[in-house]
Amino acid sequence: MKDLTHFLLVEDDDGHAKIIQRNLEKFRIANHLDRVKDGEDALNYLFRRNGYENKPSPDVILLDLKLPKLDGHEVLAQVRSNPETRDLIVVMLTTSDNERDKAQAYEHNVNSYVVKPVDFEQFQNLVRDTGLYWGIWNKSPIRGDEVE
Amino acid sequence: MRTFSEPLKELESAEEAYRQAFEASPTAQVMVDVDGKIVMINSEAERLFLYERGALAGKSIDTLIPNRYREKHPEYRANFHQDPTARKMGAGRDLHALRSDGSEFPVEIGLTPIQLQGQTYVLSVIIDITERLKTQNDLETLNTALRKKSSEMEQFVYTVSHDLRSPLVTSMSFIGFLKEDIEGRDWDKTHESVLEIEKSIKRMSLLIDDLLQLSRIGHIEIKSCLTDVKTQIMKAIDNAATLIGDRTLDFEIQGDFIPVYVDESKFLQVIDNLVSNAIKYAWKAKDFKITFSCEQFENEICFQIQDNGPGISEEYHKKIFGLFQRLDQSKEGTGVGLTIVSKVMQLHGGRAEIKSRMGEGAAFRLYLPIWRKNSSNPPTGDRA
Repeated sequence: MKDLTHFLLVEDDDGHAKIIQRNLEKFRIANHLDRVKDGEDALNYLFRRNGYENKPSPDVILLDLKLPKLDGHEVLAQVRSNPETRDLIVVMLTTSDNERDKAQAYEHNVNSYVVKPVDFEQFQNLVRDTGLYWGIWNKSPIRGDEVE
Repeated sequence: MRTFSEPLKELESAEEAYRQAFEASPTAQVMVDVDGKIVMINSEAERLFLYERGALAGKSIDTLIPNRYREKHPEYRANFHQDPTARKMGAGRDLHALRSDGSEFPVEIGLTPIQLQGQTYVLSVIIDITERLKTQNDLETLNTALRKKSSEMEQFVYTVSHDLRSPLVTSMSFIGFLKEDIEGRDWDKTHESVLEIEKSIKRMSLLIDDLLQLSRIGHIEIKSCLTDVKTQIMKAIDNAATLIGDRTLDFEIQGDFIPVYVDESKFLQVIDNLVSNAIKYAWKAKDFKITFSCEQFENEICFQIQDNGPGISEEYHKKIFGLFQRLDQSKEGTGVGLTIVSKVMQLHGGRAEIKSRMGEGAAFRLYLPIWRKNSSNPPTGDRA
């Protein structure tokens, strides 16, 4: 049984990616973090194709909403519609606090929808709490092929 | 003492008064008997239906009804006579009337039964509603346009608030990190944090500049003049000199270019944006080349800017013209350039499209309508 906490960060903004990464490291939450920069690569990673064949299934996906090529909603919809990936924990981490975006994300059964705060401390606490809650305290169910 | 003939005279003068009132009415009025024969018609009705004075007297009312309704009309008339009450004709149906020249026009008709010497007559008051329908139609068109603008505005505010917030989040977080870095005397990280803050402030400033540029396009009037597009292309290539740097750029202008009526500076901006996009996204291509060409169709002229870069997959063709949409974050820019291209083309009554497949380069096509001498003037654009 694997015991590492593996995060996949889908984030096009380099600055935001560094902030999230630095905060996760600071609180020693992620044992392993991979980053992709657009929606298309997120699906390549999750469906293990186009150069991502050997990637493991992540424990938590931190998914930005506004992404090049395919946006977060499209990525989430595809993740949820595939039996291989539909149980993955997906946390939408975005600057949009638009009600329509939230509703759409929850329609596709996002696990959490969190708005990136402008305030440094709030952002830091948010990454810590999100990481702890979904990465440590609430592990996704282990699929049959991973038990042994 | 009243004589025997006095009531008769009173009756005659009452009838004459009615006739005069009927004739003087500013609305078209026609009176028909039970068989649908016209027994009285006023000048306004004759004018409306384009008939000479007296030409319709004794004719069937069907003369004023388009052919396709004539078959059903006797049935409607019979129904009315069974229950003769004042009402609007054809509730819920669109009514049309027929002029002497065969043309039709939309009408509203009020029916009133009148008893005269034991006979039932029907008085029809006919109103031409062409203008009313046109106004109604114009209002609906305007409403639809307003709704579209308002939803565009909503989308715009949403996108802008999202995208402007993004560099703000970065700056604030790195200012926080910076404090920690200084306290911990970690100078490498201090340096990195300062660079990140600088980058995000620059980005914020770039976004604001581009947004201003976009909003100006929506408000400045298009000043069209006959423009040689080849000259504009040469200018755009000159403008791209700093972007090209010491790389080799091969460009070709193919065939003849038809002069067009456009706002020169706005159209130059379109070509500028497309040329700089091609350079940014395609310069790594082997033997990098941009080809310009012009093609004339029946109602449109198309200018094409083709590169031999990596191309853009079809699923993103619509998206790329949207505000702040970028396909590759490693390239400079805010994702406003193609939105400006699309907006300027719309202001000229034209459109921008992309034709591309992965691995086959990208062709941006700018379509302008051909304004012929007899048609309306070149557009001044539907300004936002």
